[in-house]
Amino acid sequence: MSVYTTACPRNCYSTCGMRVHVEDGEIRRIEPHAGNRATPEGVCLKGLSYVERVRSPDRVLTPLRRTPSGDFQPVDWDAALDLIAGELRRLRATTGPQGLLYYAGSGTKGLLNAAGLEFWRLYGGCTTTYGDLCWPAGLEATRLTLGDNRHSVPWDIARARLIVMWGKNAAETNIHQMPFIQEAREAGGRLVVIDPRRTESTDSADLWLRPRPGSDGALALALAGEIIRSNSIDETFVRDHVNGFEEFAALAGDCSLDWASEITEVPVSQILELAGWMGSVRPMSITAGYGMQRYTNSGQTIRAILALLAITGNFGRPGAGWVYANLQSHIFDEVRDPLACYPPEEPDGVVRVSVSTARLGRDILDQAAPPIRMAWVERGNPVTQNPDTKVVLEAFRALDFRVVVDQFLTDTAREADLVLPAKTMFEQTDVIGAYWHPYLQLRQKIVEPPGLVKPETEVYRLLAPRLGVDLSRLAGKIPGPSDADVESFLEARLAPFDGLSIERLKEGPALPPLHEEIAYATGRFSTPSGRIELVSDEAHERWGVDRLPCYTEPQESVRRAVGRPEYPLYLMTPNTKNRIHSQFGNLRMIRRVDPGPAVHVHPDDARPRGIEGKARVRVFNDRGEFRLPAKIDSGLKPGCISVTNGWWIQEGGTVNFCSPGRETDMGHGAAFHDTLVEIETA
Amino acid sequence: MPSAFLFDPNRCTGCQACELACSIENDLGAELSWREVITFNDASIPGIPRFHLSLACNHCAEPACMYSCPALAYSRDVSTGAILIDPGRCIGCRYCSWACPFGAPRYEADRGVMGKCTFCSHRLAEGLKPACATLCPTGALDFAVLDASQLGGPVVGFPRTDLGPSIRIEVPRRAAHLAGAGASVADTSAAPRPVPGVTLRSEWSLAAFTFLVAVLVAGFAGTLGGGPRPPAALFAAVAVVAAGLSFSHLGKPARAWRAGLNVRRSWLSREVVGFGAFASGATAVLALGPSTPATAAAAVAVAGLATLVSADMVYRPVYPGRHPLLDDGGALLTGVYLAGLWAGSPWLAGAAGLLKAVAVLRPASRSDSKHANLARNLAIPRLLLGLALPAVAWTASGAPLPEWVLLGAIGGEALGRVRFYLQLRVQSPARQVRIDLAGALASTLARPSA
Repeated sequence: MSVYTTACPRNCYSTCGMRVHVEDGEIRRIEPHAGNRATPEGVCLKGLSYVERVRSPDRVLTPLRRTPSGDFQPVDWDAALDLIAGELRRLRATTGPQGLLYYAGSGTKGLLNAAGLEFWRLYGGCTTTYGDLCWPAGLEATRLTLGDNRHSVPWDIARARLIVMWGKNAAETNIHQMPFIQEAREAGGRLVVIDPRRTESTDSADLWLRPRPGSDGALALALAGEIIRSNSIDETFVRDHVNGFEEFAALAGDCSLDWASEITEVPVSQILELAGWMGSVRPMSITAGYGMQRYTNSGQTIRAILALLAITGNFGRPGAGWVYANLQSHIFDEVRDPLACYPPEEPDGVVRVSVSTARLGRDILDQAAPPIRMAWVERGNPVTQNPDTKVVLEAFRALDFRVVVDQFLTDTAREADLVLPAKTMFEQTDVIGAYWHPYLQLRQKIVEPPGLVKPETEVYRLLAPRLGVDLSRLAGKIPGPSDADVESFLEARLAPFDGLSIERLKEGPALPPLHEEIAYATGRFSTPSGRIELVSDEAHERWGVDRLPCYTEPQESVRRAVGRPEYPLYLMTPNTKNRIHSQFGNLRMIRRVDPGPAVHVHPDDARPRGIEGKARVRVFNDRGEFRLPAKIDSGLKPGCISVTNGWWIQEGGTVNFCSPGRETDMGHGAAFHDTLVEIETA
Repeated sequence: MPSAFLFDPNRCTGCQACELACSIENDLGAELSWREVITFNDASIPGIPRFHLSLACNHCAEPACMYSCPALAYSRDVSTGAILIDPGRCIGCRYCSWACPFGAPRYEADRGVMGKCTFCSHRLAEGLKPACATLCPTGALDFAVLDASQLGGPVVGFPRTDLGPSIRIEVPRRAAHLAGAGASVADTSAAPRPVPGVTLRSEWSLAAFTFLVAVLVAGFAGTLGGGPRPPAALFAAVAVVAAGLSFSHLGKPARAWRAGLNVRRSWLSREVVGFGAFASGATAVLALGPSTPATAAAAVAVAGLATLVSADMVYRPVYPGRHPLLDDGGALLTGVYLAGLWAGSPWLAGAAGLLKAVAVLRPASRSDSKHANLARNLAIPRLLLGLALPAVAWTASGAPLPEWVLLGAIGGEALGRVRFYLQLRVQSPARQVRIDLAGALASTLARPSA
């Protein structure tokens, strides 16, 4: 049996280091790689399930052409490529190359992902998206406040004496953080969890606050007001490192406990208790999730939460800090997120970055000069995972031709005219970073692709001559066909960095050059002033929000004067331990442990509607509907229902039929969670 | 010192990676795992903590599975303490799954044999820990060699036994969060539901087998007491049908002969051996007729009664009441009662019938079987047919009873046997969790609301 070092490339905090045992060309066993100090104990159940995923009978192993009856028929690569090339040549000659939408999701990390856009430039151009579904409101708020997005090593949180897990359920979505948190607790530290749902994480907490969805900013401001009133701030730190404290203090001073309690529905006593802890227990780490920053007021919410760390001096010290996004391993990016996902200030005329990811469906339909007539989708499943599924479907179905590259027949793939078989992480070598721990890791090729599967880079290489693009023009942009070509291509990307090489990464995870174990230990922040900025002119100029992190109600709120009284329930769509968005749920190993799609409803909301456990429920608003069995869940906050996101339409549970195609207040994120619905028995 | 699993419910997030680790390491396919994560308070009832237990075989010091196995398919690996099943010896009778309170041995229908956790003996031999303990992402599940005094840890939801399970469980310290504003403190709609135990659907062939054995023993013993003598061929035919029914229950009928190998410890082996001896002996006695020596006939009758005692003792691990020998539907009591009717012996039938009537009429033990209603509804027809009808006929016209009354009584007793099965339940962690949760819920409701 041979053992290979690799790493999981999913869009997940943990990005586990792995040791993969291979026998007779089959993956037999997946174990943790001890060199990754953030994930030393074991990969998660999804990571283990790769043994099934790689050889799943449901995998797409050949190009599939849609027949007029709607079925898919296997075709060989020549037929597939000739078909695509014909469509692309026609498009380029008639509509123009920007009539093609190139949509790339976050399904797999890797440097070679850049090959797509490089290729479309050579083709003559394309239209693509800006923004991101996941985390940009928080990234932008952090950039405006601290200058950039990085944090201390994941295991540093074990040294915190107060951990506030805010809008996050690490036990399910960042399981490898939990041992460090337990370590802190066993050493006498306290864990506070802020979440409207009772979760696996709240059950470990010493204090659990459950604010109304989208009201976290009001909670943060009231906590800050109380900390300032009780003279618990770190005056030295504020004097040396914080800009705008006076103005912020005035704002927070106006935010009374009663005001916040009324807005957030958190009892005053709990706000007081947490404020007392924040003012007196140091070091404090706040580890924030991505759900809370998917509202239309999220950027401001995150700025207000960051202020709590700033006024209590919780930066640059062991056990202290803001654990949100650690981009220290993103050394290959010329411009780092979130700026990298904004539309360019000066368009280059070749790649048109004009479709908001959050408004994907509407923006595709609205593009003009030229309109979008064709789409190429990679590493993504926008039909179920982008907001406003009905409009996304409408937009896709209005196109002339759709190519989807995927491992499985997802709902997006089922909309395609041609499905191309995608590689798995074990079938082409690449280099990946992470966003929680700082490691660079090799995602190593371990087995040959099965069937007719080809990596995307190879598809582009084969397509180029058919479109009149000479292969010599791919040099340095898309690697050659052999494993050695891929490795030397990656080696060239690693060359500028001391100590990084393919050989080194084959041994195990490596830290990036200039890595900071404790972020901001120098006391310098990369904002224009070099200090933490609680007041931001840029926030106002770029996004039109207040210079201060003022609280406003989210667009869809039960407290809005012009509200949507016919839709009184917040639809929460968290992630589950059993999937990464819409991936893994189709595997038999995962299905065995998953109870299946269900709408969680609090008994107080179920009773007046006559809903009983297991009854089929229709979840709806003016954008759409879906139907699933109910699960009565006393752990929810009344007024909230919850369905994990990522169920396929084929499985009945695509939550995004109800979510709005709407951006967050900053960062061009998607305000998925700004969604009010009603439910009834179906 | 025993090898043991270490489990910390405070670190377990219920992720189930251990289950997949087990499936993959042991090549069980996607649908099966020998390890199971069960959740206490899955409905998140406010005021009651919620936590998980990751359980597999605990490789007990006193392995009930091994002791109960009639086929000697179990063994203990002396170096690791692992309790192992030899799939080449297992007959697929599933009796070990009744004996184990941890639900560890599970029937694998496609193989026709039982399967369970092996402690990853093949890994232990290489100096590695079991796959589940190696791959737990949070360090909640581990493996170590411990002193016996370090084992245990009484935990809500973990079946209490004196089998000496090789596991150490830390005390859960999770918060019993009361919900915030607006929530009902404890919602009884979320109360645990009863779990199906041994079901007639799965065990009908056993119910029929044991009942036929009781009828055969009654027929034979009744004959000795003066009842009409059944033809040997009919007797033998019924015995063969009964045996066939019991074989049909096995995953590996071809290995049925192994069922008698553990007479030393297993009541099931005793039942099997006893039935073999009784059925062949009784057939011979009936064929020989009056020329049989009385001592030989009496010995056969004793073998029959011993078989019935064994048949009742088999059900001890899954019987919820005081003792299966005292149950109205028990094989021994039924055999004796029918023998009394057959022999026309009012005192024997009367005594056994009285015991049965008392057992039926005694307020039912708090059975949590989901078939409790059906069992209650069957009580009246069972009493009328099985006990009242013969009593009335006897009082009215005396012995011998007409055939139709005898047939009616047998029918009534068959209903009694059905009721016996309806109350059975297999002890398991999932069941223990429900019981303990119901207890926690009751005390939460009793507590004055905060």
